[in-house]
Amino acid sequence: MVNIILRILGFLRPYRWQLVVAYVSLFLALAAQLSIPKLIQYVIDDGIAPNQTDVVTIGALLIVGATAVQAAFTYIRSYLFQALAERVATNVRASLYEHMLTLSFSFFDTSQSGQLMSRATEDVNSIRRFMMFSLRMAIYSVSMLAVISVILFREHARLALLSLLVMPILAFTAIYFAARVRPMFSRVQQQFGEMSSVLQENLAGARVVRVFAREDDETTKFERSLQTLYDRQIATIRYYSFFFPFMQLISSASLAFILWYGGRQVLNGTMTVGTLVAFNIYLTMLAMPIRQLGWIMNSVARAIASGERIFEIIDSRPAIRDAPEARAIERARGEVRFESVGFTYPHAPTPALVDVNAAARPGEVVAIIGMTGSGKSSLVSLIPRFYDVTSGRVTLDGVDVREITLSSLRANVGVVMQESFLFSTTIRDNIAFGVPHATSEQIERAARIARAHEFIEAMPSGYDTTLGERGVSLSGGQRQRVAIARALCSDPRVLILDDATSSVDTETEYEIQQALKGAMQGRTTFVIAQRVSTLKEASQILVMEHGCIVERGTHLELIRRSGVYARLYELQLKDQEEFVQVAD
Amino acid sequence: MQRIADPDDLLGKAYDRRIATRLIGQVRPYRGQAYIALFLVVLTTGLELSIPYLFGLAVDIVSGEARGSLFGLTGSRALNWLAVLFVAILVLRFISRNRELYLMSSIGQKIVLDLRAAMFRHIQRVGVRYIDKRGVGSIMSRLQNDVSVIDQLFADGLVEILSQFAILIGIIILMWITNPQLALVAFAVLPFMVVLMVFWRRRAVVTYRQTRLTIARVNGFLAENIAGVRVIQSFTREPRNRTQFHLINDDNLEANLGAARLSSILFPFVTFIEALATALVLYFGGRMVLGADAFTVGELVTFVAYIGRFYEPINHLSQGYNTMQAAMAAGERIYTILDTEVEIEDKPGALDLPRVIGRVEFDHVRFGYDDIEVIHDVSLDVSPGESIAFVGETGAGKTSMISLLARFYDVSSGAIRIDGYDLRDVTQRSLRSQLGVVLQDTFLFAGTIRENIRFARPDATDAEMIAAATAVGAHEFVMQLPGGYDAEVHERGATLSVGQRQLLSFARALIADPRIIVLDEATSSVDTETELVIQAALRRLLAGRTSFIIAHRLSTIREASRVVVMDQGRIVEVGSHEHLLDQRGLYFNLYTMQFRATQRDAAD
Repeated sequence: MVNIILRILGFLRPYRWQLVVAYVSLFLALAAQLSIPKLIQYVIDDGIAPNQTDVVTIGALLIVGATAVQAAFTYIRSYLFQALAERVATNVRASLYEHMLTLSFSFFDTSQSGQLMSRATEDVNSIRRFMMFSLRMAIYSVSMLAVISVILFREHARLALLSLLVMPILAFTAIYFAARVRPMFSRVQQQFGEMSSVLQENLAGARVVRVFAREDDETTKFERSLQTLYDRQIATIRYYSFFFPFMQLISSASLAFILWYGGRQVLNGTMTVGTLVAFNIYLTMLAMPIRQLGWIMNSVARAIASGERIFEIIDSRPAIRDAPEARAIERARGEVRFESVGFTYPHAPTPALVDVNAAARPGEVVAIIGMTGSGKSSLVSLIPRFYDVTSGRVTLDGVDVREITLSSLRANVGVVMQESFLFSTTIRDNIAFGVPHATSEQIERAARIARAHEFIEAMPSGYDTTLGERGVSLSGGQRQRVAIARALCSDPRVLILDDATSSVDTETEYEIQQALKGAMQGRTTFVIAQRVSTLKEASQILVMEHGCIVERGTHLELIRRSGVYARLYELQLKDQEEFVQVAD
Repeated sequence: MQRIADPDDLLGKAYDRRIATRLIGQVRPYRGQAYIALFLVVLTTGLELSIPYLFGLAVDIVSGEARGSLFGLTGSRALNWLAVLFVAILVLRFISRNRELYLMSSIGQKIVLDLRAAMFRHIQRVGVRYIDKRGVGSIMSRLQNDVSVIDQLFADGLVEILSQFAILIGIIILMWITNPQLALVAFAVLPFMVVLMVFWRRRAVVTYRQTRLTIARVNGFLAENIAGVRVIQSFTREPRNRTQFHLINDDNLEANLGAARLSSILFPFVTFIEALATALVLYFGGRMVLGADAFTVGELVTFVAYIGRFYEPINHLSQGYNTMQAAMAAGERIYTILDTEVEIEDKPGALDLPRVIGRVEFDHVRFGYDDIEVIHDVSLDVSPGESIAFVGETGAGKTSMISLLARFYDVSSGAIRIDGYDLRDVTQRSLRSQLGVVLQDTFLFAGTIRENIRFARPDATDAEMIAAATAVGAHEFVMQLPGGYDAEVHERGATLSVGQRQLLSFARALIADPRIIVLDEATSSVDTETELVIQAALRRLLAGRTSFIIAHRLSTIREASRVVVMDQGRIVEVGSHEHLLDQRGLYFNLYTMQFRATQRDAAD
């Protein structure tokens, strides 16, 4: 725990001088602030009581002066603490982001994007609040308590003791309350999440709900979760609506002591009226930071929890990195070999690939077919090193891919994934995604091969059309073609296509098929295939089952063998061809 | 959920009569409690402000001023009674503040509950098209974030605004009563304060807008980069994205530093003005005490304490202003949802559709969205037990046809009748409970398999549920899951395969034993074994029922009694698969197009 706090404080290292200035300003402002009750005491005791008009004048001027000092230093410390917090938050966010970019696919397979996002937002925010609030308040409260105690004891020890007596009780109450209310807040938070997921499901499944006329049941379900949320809120409210006034009551108890006991001392003549007034003001000043002790503790606890989560990401080493002696390759010829490749996903009980041997000559099209989970995607993702083999090796032009620098390897391998993720920028930038200085000709050429040029040109702003939430949304088929163009823009020697037909209509499917055909031209291509035409065209088909290649050969060879492929063809692929026969 | 700033938030009024009236209307069911809460606010304020007064009185008692008496007593006996009174007031304030806080916050929670429930109920009634158009995320954010802003308003905003306002008024009155001249002296610095606040606010609107805009940009960038991290890595875009991120992250820092400068200036300034007022009061008040005026030290002390309390509400009020402004914007969006017209409503006196036999008529049906007609005068007569396969390109009107049949929308003209009953004359519940609809997106809810199959008929027995699952061939794999029918289905059915989800959605449709099946066949590819099971299940599902299918499988099309070919919102061909192929019309073209390329290759 201390380690985490120290690491969090380590973020302040570059700004240590600013921190020093901030604390110095804090102390100066505090000193000025604490001199004011003394000045009021001076005005009452030395001015008003002995009838000294000029003391009243001087006192009033001194108060203005002291406050001017306080205001100036408060401004400096307030700005510096906020600026420190903002700078640290910006840095932490940046290092989280940069680190995230280096982590490998296996990391993202096991982490939810919402979770990652909340590291960069909520957790960074709690570090920020810690820097802005707790760092300052902790020191401020302690030094204020110390200085005021000294002043009060020197004025009147017995009254000081009596009135400060409530401070430990107040501190204890504040810390106790904060500790108790935290789990209550998180129960509320948790139920809020629960309610949100009921809502989210209802909206996402709106059609199903209506189709089965379940609206009333859904409403009941939602209202039940609202009621639970309400109950938990009320429990929390009951709690704090007791504790806030209670803490106020405790801190004013010291005022009662001052009023009664202090008043008697004045009557006895052992204390002046001014001292009585000053005591009152000091105790009122002190109550605020003590009451906030609980929140400081909570903020520290939250910062520790957030720090742990942030360091967990920053500390995780990327599984895929350049080897020390890795070398960059220029343009590859495109010969890819899998040599006795075994691969198991991190933490998976069973291997995804077992002793796979395969080779593709430059320019060859290799089609891979098999059921979901048979290892098709795993196999191709070893080429650009999305994962590293567990045993055996994958080579490009005879060189183990682990001995090539990641950037030069991936520059030679184009990938079209099943989900065509596009960024919310222009179509042009999306296509040129991997080629920083692509010319318009390059971009258009890639788009033409991918059969995307025509529909892009038909858009009002052509290649400069912005996609995404604030722009145009493309259909599934269009997105896929832009993704193909993106993979082609760098003219890669090796192409990986995950060609799973999502729901697109016949014509689009035809367009995509044409696009793929163009894309494969002259490149070593690994295609996870579903279409007869693609399979027929491939120079070899790898049929996969349970992580092994169970059959290989051309379409015709495999049909004749009447094995797994033939059965697959019979069941699913033949449909596609029936029309052709009718048409003949 | 983290909040990505809504652009609507960035500017807004702090008070909009229309919305404020409606928001206050939400309090109506709890007005009894609300009045009590308001009374408590005033009471707490009164008690709060009597504390400096009593302290001032104590000062006068101990310094032997003429004013320094209580119940006719003076000296230490007066002081004793004053202490008792003081403690009594502290305890009273504690109780009053406790009840006030509790009441105010619980009324707020009730209103929040009401608002969320009302919005949910309303959303159940508006058409799915509205949800499609607005997007799930946007509607969620209305129910979550916007209602939370209202929560904030009722929970601390309103309490804070009301009690601080009461304190402000109370102090002004008390100062005035005690000593009007000195009150004027104390208020002399107020104009500075007002000028400062107005100036500050104007700057703050611009500055804080900038911070919200830039952080929204940072979060948007992060969200997209996390979602697309695989693409970034496969295209080795890391260096460029890193640079891009630094730019927007630093923009955000700049904006935040600007806001830090601005917010740092306010508090010291207010403190200084407050001290100025204190000094002025001490100066003039001190002279009054010394002079001939009937003004005591105790009153001076009370005055100084009041000044300290006077400027506190001003700080809070500017926060309250922000809360109000946010609440008005949120309220506006909440009422936009609540005011959305319900597209499909049961007619008054709509009857329950009796047990369906299965005859369906589309009678000169026209239908359009947003003034664009997508179905033009379509007529189709279907006898009980017939199965109709709709075929056509995207946008041909297939989906509209089945959506109209399930009455997701109403026809613009013409009519759809089941067993002679116009769909618009029967209740939606009785209609839909007799339709078995299988959508392309086999959406499963979080919960057990049992709950999901029973979705259409929560009162179905286990035997009926197992019968339905067995009929579609789902029983076997369900039994293999840990927990069998009690196995949990997770978010969007991620733990099940595509094929298994399809089978479950068949079972879900089958359990109500509907007479009419509406099926949008899924196109996603499944493995061989599952494909066989699905084909068998489909046959079982459709047997003996009138069915309407948007078909993708050749086997399904071939088994349909009639294939209906649609093009641009019209039926262009009707007939059996073989018949239509022989016709060499649109149907023939549609289904041979994608294989021409293959043919050409074969010829090479």
